[in-house]
Amino acid sequence: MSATPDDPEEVARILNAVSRGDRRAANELLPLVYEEMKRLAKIRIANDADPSLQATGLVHEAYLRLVVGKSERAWNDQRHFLAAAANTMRRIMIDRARNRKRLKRGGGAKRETLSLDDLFMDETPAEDLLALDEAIEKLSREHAAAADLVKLRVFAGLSHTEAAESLGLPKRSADRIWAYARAWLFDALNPPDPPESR
Amino acid sequence: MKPSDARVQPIFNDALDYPAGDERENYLQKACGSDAPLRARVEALLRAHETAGSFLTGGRTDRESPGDH
Repeated sequence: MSATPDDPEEVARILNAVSRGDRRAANELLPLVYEEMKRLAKIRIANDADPSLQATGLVHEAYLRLVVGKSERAWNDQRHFLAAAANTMRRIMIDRARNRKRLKRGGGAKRETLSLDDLFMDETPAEDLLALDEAIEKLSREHAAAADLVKLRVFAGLSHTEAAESLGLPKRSADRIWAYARAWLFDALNPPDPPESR
Repeated sequence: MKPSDARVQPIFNDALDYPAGDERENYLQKACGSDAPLRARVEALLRAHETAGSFLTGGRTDRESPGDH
């Protein structure tokens, strides 16, 4: 018996539980957000929206529709929620990628760009998403703030400014960290071949 | 041993403030000195920055406000 985005009381119950730190409730919430996200995506595509905006920020928008639209501000700490949302959405995406890989779906090979829009619309070949996820995990062990910024953008769909604000980063720091994180990840995923002097 | 991010990041960021070419070279020379692994790591990341293309670009822009269709 899972709540749907149209069941405001149930959504409110889950949100209140999450705000009290109930981690299992957070697991219940994010599939709702994900469903809302897909619904919004379909509307966007049906309305012939600008393709570059189609995939953007759907988790955030869906979250706001769920939280702001349906209940009192259940979250004292939006920053905390966004980080939790990113983590849970990451798990959803990675689980789906692993399933896709196992089922060997996605026969028509789509050229891989790993742009944020491609990632968010689930149009990334499973292997590439899993490799990116692994690289992000490595980055999180070496530079936590950089990984946090990436996770909020990649998995929670936040804009650069929103992600920076969520982490309490001034603009200049966020810009620098993002440039570094992006280069770090690209380098990790595309190692030079053969290796340079080590 | 790989140079730490704490050392690499500021040099990487500052290097990007210089146009590619002599000015950036001079900066790297000053910043990295004789530390060859540090220099190599910074240069690898600068190369990545130059060749990353559309990697992790796009996504939500700030002009969209929540609740808009």
